[in-house]
Amino acid sequence: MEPRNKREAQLLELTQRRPGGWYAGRAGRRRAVVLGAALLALLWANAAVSWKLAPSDAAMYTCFAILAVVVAAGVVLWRALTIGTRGTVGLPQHLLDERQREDRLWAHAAAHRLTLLLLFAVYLGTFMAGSDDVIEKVPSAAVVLAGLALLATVAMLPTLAVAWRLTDPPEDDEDE
Amino acid sequence: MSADKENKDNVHNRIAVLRAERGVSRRDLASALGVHYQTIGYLERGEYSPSLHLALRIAAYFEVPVEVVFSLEPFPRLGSTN
Repeated sequence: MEPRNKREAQLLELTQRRPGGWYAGRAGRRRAVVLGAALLALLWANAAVSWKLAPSDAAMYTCFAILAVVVAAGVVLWRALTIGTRGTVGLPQHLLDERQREDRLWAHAAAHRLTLLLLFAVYLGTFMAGSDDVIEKVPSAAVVLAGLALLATVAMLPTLAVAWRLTDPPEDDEDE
Repeated sequence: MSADKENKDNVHNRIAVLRAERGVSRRDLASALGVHYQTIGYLERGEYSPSLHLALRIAAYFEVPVEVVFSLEPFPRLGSTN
């Protein structure tokens, strides 16, 4: 668990710190997971709105408003989840111990299953959406936004999965 | 996984007792073993079973045989006649 450079040392220090604030504890972490899932749902809704309304001013304004909300809330949430999960997903492998590596493997396996389900749902949704030329009629903005939503989902799911699963650690010796 | 299966998989340990007896904090032990300090807490609470490598290193740290620290059966309580 030795950091190899200054950045890794800072990351390790950040994740060794006792989490405080609204995301401390299992209930807080689960609230953060729900918020993260809501942000991802917003991204998917953004793509759906774009599909239906683009090209139009309404689609453009909706898109920028949603992206602004998701980026602002996402930055805060990402930090909260990284500290709350002690960097289980985000830290380099050599900074994790065997328990954390096991948790990370579980998180990636769970996220992989969820991603498969999501891809299947997207495929089914597209297939059921309408006529044979549905793909040709999809606005390019909607394709870009759907790609962005998929990318964010794949990136976030392991962290969300491990944040949902982690139990509260025992109190520190100093607090006993 | 059933509760019976979980119990069968559970490895009992005396890390907390040994640590208290020697006056070693979780952070000190974690630092000596090169693991996150919360991992020691999870081990003591029985929520995580260590690898053979970590189990042997814990036993070596306390300078006792591994079976003194870990067991597949629950350890008798202090003062127990059984």
